[in-house]
Amino acid sequence: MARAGNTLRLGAARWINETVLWVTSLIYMEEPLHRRFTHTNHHTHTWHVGKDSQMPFDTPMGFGGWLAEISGFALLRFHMQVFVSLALRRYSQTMRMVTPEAEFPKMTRNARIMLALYALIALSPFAGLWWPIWFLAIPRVLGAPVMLLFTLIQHVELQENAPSILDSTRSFRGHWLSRFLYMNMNNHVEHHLYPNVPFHALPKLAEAVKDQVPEPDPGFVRTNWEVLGVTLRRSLGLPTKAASIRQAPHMITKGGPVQQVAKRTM
Amino acid sequence: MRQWIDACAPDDIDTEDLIAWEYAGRRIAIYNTDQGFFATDLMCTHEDQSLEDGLVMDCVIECPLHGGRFDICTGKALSAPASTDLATYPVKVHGGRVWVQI
Repeated sequence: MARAGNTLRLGAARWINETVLWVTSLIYMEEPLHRRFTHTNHHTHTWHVGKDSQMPFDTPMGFGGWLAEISGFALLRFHMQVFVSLALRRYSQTMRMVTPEAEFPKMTRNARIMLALYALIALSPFAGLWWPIWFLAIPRVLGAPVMLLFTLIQHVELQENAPSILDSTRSFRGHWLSRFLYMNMNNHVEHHLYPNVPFHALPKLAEAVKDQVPEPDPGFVRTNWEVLGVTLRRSLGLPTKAASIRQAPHMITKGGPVQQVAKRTM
Repeated sequence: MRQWIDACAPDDIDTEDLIAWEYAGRRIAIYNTDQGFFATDLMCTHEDQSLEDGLVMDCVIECPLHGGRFDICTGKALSAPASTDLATYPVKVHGGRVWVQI
């Protein structure tokens, strides 16, 4: 839901999109405008090293990277650093690269307000209120790993710096529950090809272009299982060919040391 | 000094649509709306993206890449991620042709 809202296409009404962006950003714990501009940049420079500000892990990914990504702690730490930087008006090179100058004062204001809100929430048990803590903790502990398993397989094991979205992005088949939870974003190649197509129309779009895009990888569970296997074998210096999911040629090795291509940018 | 340049025939642009037009190195979008013909810069002010494949709704153009919207008549940026206005150019229809002042 957060992704669809972030891409500003949750139905026709803009105010719904904006509301979704702001509410989910509060739970996701990222300043909404930072999230917006890094994400639009991700759509412009998808998986291009040094340009894409939303590459959440080093590539090729090892087991340590997988663990850091799926636990959500690396991302939480990054978002907290962003909050503090924005609140102190310290705008990083990446922020300056992706954000119009006029937006910075708003981002600083938002970061300060949101940090104050989080501080109030942290203090709420002292007033006998626990529900504000659960409001943040339950999504963070139970929701984030699931969400991150979804987002992990969008681009992992695929080609960095590819001129074509087809080589850098993965669609995968979806069980009805995963399609529902992920709001059809399993059609991720199609989402990147036509980002303005609303989430509810993505299955139709996928059907219309199916002869022009790669076959979707297997479902959520199997794709993630294969990715986990690959990262484990890579860390152990073993061959990294997956059973069925798409991989960029350089991701498939006979084992041995790994040459890093991209460093995480978030 | 600004001058009127013959750009196209009115029929070259469908209603609620635009064409990309280039003159002296400038890339310009010419729109045909219910309120008449208008011209703005062709490239979105948010990122390097042509508005040529964007959606025209009444007097609003939506960027095809990130969905930023602009008022076609004034160039004003209406919604995120666009926040800088588009440059606009005067347009007139005269002698069965669309003229743009550049």
